[in-house]
Amino acid sequence: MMDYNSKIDFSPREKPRGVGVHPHRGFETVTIAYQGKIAHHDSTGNSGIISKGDVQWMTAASGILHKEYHEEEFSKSGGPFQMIQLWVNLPAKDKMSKPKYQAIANNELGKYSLDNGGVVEIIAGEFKGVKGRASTFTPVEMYNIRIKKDGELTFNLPENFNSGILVVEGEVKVHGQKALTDNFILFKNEGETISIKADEDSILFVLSGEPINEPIAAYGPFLMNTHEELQQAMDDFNKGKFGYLED
Amino acid sequence: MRQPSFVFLKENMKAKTIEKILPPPAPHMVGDGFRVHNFFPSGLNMANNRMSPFL
Repeated sequence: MMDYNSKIDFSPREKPRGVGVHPHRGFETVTIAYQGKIAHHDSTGNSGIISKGDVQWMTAASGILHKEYHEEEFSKSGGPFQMIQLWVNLPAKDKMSKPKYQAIANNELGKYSLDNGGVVEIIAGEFKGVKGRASTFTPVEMYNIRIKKDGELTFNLPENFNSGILVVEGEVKVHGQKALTDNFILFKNEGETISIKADEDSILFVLSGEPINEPIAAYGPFLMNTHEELQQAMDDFNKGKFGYLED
Repeated sequence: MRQPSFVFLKENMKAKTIEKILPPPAPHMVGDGFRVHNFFPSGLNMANNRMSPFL
C-alpha cells in the first residue's frame, strides 16, 4: 500500500489532528515526511517525532498498537503538510518477529551528490555505491532524488524488482515522457535503466523491491499468509495481546 | 575517442519500460489528519502482489 498526502495546508488547531490507536501485524510501515511534523506513540513504549526530511521505518511484525498525530507545535501553527506512508510486506518466516523501529533523521540518510547541485538521499539499498541506513528483511531500493532544473540522471534498478517513482515536487521527463507533480510512474518488469531529466527543481521518491512470492491473506491492518493466521491475529488483538496504548 | 566505461555499461543495459503514469487518485481521509491519495493497490487497480513487497 502507498498512501500519499500531497502537499496541503492545515489550519492551526489546538487539538492535533491524526489517527487514533490501531493495530498492525505481519508487515512494516514506512513514513517519509516532506513537510510538517508527525508524532507517534506505540504499545511497546516507543514514541517520537518525524520531521521534514526524516524517515521512520516501523516493523510491526508480531503486532503493535500505535497512533499517529500532527506534532503539537506544528498543529498549533498550522502550515504545509506532505508525507508518504508505505506498507512493506514481511516474508512468512519474519511475520511474527519482534516489533522494532528505525528512526532515521535526514542527516543520517546516505547522500550521493549530483553534478548540478542536487542530491540523492538513500533510505534503503544502494545508489551508485552509497548505501542507505535502513535494514530490510528482503531486498529494497528506496531513494529521494532531489534534482535541480535541467539536471539529468541515469541509474539502474534490477529488472525483476517491482518499481515506481512518485513525483513529490516539480516536473520531470522519464525516457522523454513527461510526469507532473504528484504523478506516479509505474514501471514494467523489463529493463534496468531509468533516465531522468528535470524540467523544474524536483523531488522524486523511488521505490523498488524484490517481490515476495508467498500467499497473501489481508484484512484491514493485518497482512498474513493464510486465513487461519488472520483469524489468529484478530483473536490476539481482541484478547489484548497487542498490548495497551491510551487513545 | 575512448568512451568512459560507465557509458559502455549504460549502453548495454535496456531501458526500464514505463507501464503507465498515473495522476493522483481522489483523496480520502485517514482519521482527520491525513488526506491521502492511495496509489496502490486501489489507485492502480492492481492485483495485491503487483508492487510486492510494497502492499
